[in-house]
Amino acid sequence: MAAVQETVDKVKSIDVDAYKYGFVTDIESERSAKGLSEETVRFISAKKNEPAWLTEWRLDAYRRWTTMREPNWARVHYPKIEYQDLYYYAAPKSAAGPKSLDEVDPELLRTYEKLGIPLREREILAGVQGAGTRVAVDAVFDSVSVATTFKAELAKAGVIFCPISEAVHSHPELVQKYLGSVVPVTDNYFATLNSAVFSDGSFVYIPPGVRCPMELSTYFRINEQNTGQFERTLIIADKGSYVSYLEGCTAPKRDENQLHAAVVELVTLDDAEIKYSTVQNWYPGDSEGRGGIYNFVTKRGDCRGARSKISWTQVETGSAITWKYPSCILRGDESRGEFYSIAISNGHQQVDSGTKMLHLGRNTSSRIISKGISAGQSNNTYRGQVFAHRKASGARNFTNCDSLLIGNRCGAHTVPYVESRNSSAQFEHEATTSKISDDQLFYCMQRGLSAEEATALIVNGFVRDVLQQLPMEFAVEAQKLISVSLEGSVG
Amino acid sequence: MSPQQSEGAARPVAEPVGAVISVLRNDAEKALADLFANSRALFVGSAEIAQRREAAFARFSRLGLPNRRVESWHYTDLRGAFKSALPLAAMPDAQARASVRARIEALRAADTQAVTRLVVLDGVFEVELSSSHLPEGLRVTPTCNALIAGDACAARAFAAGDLGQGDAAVALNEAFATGGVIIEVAAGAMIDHPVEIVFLSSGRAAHAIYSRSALLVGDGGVVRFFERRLTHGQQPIQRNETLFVDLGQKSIVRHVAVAEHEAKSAVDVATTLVCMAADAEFTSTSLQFGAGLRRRQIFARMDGPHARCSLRGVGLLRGDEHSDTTIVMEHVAPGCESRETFNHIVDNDATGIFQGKVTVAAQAQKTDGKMKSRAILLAEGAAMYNKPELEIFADDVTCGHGATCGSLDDNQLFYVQSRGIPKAEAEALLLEGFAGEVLDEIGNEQTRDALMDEVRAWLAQRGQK
Repeated sequence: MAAVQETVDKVKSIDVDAYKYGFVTDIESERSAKGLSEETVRFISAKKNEPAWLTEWRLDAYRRWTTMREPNWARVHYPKIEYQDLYYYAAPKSAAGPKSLDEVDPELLRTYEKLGIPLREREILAGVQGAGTRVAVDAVFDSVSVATTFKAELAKAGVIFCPISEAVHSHPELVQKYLGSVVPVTDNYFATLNSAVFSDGSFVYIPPGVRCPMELSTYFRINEQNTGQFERTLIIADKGSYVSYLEGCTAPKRDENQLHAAVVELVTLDDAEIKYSTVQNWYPGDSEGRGGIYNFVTKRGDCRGARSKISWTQVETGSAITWKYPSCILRGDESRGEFYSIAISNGHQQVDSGTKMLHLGRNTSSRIISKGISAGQSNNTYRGQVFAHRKASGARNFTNCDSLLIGNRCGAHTVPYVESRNSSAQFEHEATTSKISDDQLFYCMQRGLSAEEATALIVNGFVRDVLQQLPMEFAVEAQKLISVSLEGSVG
Repeated sequence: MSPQQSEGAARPVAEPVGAVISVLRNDAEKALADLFANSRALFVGSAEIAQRREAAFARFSRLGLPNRRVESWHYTDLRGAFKSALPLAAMPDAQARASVRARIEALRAADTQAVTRLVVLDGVFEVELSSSHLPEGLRVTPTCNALIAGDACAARAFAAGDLGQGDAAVALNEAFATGGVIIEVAAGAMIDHPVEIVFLSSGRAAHAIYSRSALLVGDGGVVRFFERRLTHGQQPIQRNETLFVDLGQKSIVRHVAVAEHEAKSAVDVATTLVCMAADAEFTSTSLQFGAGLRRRQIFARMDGPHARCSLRGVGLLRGDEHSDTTIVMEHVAPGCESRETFNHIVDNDATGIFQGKVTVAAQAQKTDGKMKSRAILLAEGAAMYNKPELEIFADDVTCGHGATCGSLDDNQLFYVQSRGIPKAEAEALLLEGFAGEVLDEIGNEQTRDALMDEVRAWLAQRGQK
């Protein structure tokens, strides 16, 4: 009987629209007026009760943005975005900021419970959730952060982990010093838009010599209709510190497209290390390509100090469109940048993602491992740049991008820029494209696996190098996600 | 932060698909428009060709001179190099011919085998300087004559399989070219001795050279084909010469191209357009020295199944030379194979560029494409830019590319030096090996040795400094 039940469950779970986070939470919310103008920017700034310098900073960004043109060089196609038809701020209605979780709307907590994200510390302590590993979570719902866990314990270690809107008040000197120092206000169209209207996100500061006692994590959730989410994350690892940061994202299923334009800035000083992992699972649209999130994200790390290290790991399975190039500026001597990526596209998804490694300091090194998997009618592009400055003697880079095609209606593309202006820099780049061979499939199926299971198994082997870089609890989730993302792609 | 270092996301490197770029015309672009309008009387050819020219120039007007904002010209700023549009080169006179005769004689003296040599001087085919005897199965028509006579081969040379239509330099060539030479190899003909085109510029005045040549090989034809680019004088020149190679079914072309050093003031754009029918085989090996601005672009398309195309090259650059090799390889038929192997040695403050794009259409299953670009930088100021691209829409393919860039391997150098060979010689030996790797693939020993001699001569000059 149990076996039968298992089969029934299995069949149920294999739905074409397998996106399981597609529910909408019915929650009262407050939005800004539709459209974007100086008033909207001022409204958001006022909502957050921001100091004058930040309001000015936002307005400056907004004015710049009005003069910029949307970039069109990426291999993604989408109808023109009507920026004036969007809401730039949406927040769950609640009286002032919640003092504790008990004040948070229970509906909201249920949302996060549904997503499997623990916001109640005691539950984790009681061992109810997961394997008992403790992760501090900052949950961002539409435009505001609703809860941050383990604050007290982190504070003991001197670690600051709070919503950026709070950091503006509690640590203005740090925010003012580092905000926009990695991704300048004028960096690009979407980053400038973000600078003007960014709502919330996480702020992390690790003091010198501190190894952050637990993983930090942020979960982003877009709930409201017609809103864009513009979060901003700023992580600073002071001398000799270490932090591992995880980011997850989901959104409800909606017929229209939603915009997500985030900016992430990382700064490492001497000997510091940041490990930044993302499992991006925004709603990718339905099987006809309707709806889904436009994910236009600027992520950049600045290895400012000598011997510092930034490592990006990303698993990209969601979004209708992904436009994302987490990069490292290797400014400090002997600094190191890493980029590990799995990008899976299915249905009508379009992915244009990659990285940049800018070698400026001496003896800097970087490593890029990118695995792209396209299925259905999707397009998956790796676009990356490796650059050695005249003064970057001894720079080293190794790049490996592999693409896997499943079916003959999808596309896989590789566009690397390998630019060396220093004779002692050593760059190596290799890329391959192939399909899952019939031999491999046959072998697995002969052992009793279905075509889909076999594909998932082979794909998991293909992306193993990257999965190994993920923190444990994320790796398991990512592995499951890969199987789900590829459902319906075989046969 | 300089623009070089800023986020690519921010840098407008766009080639907007289908979008009209609003181009602010610079002086050279305005001058080119005037030149085109005023030179219509010179543009011989049928009404159809005239129409093509107008369409090509309209295309150019829309695109403007290629600059860094155009993705396929990302590292070569032709617009910046064109300070003005130089006047079209005059027909070579007796004096011009006399001035270059010695060069042609020198080539003849260096021949290790019988060569059918065809000379295109300042973009015009020169009967006097060319071989008078043609082997059987070979037909040679000056492009100009073919245009006037309305010969079908002229129409083919200008249509060129509609390759490179999105490129502004090709458009300019299509609009302005009246000279050149069209070589036809009859179906089934096996041409014993190599056929060589010498593209020569007399350099007697500052001028622009546009020529269009073609090698049209019938089904089953076999030919060895050499191409040599030379400059005689020191005057600033703008060269834009296009060669169309059309391979019939089961035909074989073995192509060897040498582009000799040109002056700092020279702007040289050489385009090769290659169309391949089923089971055709095209191998091309090039030895390329630098120029003020040199761009060699190859647009190849395999129309028929099971065609094989292999492009190889060595680039030797020094001083502040700039050399750009750009390849677009289109797989549109199933079962084709393509190989690209390019090695660059970059010294002093020179800049080497390799851009290779392999595209595989959905119907081109079983494609096998491999691309490799390697570079050795010898000096602090040297730079190398690699952009190997893949664009794949078929699932049953094996495609890959590799790109490396670095200095001479210290271990290798140490090994050779430990055998008692002085450093300079050891370096030359290793570099010779690096270049030889690519040139070794030339089947004909005499040809290969001749090219290796040129490599050695270049390396010897390096040692002298």
